[in-house]
Amino acid sequence: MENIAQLMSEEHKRCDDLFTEVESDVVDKNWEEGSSKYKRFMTSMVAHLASEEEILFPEFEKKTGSSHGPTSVMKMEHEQMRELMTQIQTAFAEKTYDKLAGILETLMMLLQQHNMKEEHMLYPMADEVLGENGPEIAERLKSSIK
Amino acid sequence: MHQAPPFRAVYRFFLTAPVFIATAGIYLAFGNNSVFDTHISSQLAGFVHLVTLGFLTMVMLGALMQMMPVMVGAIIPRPILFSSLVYYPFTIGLLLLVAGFITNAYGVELLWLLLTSFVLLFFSIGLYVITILSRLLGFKVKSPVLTNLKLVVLSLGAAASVGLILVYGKITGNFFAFEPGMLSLHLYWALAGWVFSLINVVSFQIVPMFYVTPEYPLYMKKYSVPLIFTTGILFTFSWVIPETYVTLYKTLVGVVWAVVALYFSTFTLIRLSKRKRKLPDYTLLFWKLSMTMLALVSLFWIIDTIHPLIAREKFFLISGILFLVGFAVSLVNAMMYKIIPFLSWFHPAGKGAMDTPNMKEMLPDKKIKIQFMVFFAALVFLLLSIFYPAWFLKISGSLFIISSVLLWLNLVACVKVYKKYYKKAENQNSQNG
Repeated sequence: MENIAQLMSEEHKRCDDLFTEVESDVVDKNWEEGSSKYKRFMTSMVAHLASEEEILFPEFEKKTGSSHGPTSVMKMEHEQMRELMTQIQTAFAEKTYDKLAGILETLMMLLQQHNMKEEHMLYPMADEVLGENGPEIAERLKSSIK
Repeated sequence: MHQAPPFRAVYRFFLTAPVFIATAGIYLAFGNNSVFDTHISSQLAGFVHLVTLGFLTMVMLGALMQMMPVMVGAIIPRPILFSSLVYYPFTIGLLLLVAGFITNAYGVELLWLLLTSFVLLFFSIGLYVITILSRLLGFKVKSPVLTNLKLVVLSLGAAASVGLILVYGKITGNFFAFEPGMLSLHLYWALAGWVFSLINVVSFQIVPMFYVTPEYPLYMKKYSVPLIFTTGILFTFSWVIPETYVTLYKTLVGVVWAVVALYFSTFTLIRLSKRKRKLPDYTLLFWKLSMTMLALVSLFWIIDTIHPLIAREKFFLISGILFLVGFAVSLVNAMMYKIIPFLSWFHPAGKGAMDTPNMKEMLPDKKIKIQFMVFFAALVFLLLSIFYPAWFLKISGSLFIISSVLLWLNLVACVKVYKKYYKKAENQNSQNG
């Protein structure tokens, strides 16, 4: 059975791939195609962030007894992501390449450094503190994302 | 995982570094054209330390502080105080060290310059090494990145210690009073143990992160830095081996380094060329130049070991410039172009200023491209000036000055955005209670 770290890291990878496809369309100025792929990416992202905030983080906080620890930093970065994702939607509507390229680059950096912190620290910590409940929580995360 | 250190604790390192490369440019442009006359001289040492300490180490001290929380989750307590205690003695000590070398090159003996510089540099580097090590030793778990970081920081300490012995030699005689072996050791720990290994560790983290490539394979993360470090330890104790084998032994040390470097650079070049993202990224120009230069210098080193190609002096000068400027300076330049715009956005946006200009708005692609072209030209002329100093040193020096001013302006533009929007966010937050 998959643990949390494996499952969620693969999810990151899947979102990255979707994101890269969006970027390719933007570079080729395929606005229609890009915009619809972007919607797909956003749906995945929104589900991923929600699964962490509604399932993983509360369970983690219950075990560690603190909501001011690492999860609070992660939640703050989620907010920054949501904001950038809205800006991208607007830029798609306006079809402004420079603006869009700049926000895409910024979101990519935000995502990558965020993923690194989660994959190398938070997820392994979660697997450890959640112990035998881990696999069951992984299952819940999986069904909430899909 | 935890919060990144305050931006002001790290950006001072980044904004000072280009000033030192500009100083190195001035050194070339306004000097007497004799910096490359031999490969061992006080004059050359002055130039080299402006690059190695003034640019490379200056940036790395800041970057490591910034990246430790992201890489291993280690935080440095009281970051502003720590940063000041490292930054000021380091900067002043470096200026005095370079002044010491230059005056020495012109036949003026000012020992107090060197002594004071050493006290300051040793304090700053010592404090840094001990603080980082003590943070890293606090982790019970074992991971390649933790081990690598420890070894890299220890190498910095080793380079500084051997440097101290060289200065001691100077006080009692001249810089190179000790057998040349001591100088080789200083070079090994500084260039292979510190600069090269740290760039390895950092690349393992940032190439997948900045360029969205697959991770480096585990065997590279696990073995390359420890291999370089162990070779350094064996090199340090090479005085215990019988004299007949010493030359062979030293050759082996050089080859080990060159093979690791060749592997790393080719591997990274292939990775970067397979990158899936199509969005243009001009920092890749610097990366590709950097890795090509590293591949070139290591290949040059290996071939020369088998079959000497060129006079020793020229060999060391060419290798040195390819490695230091071609490989290391380009890479650090590229790294700053990612870290600084991102942090300049990240900190204010984290405070709620979501109207902060994005990375490309504060640092447009075109500006990166222009600075790259000037830097590349400066590097080409620098290599040419090994052979024709009278023709090319001044051109190269002038181009380095322009390139560093452009770099500095590009970075300052980002930090200005940070200051403006961070302040705005703070004001808004305090108004909202």
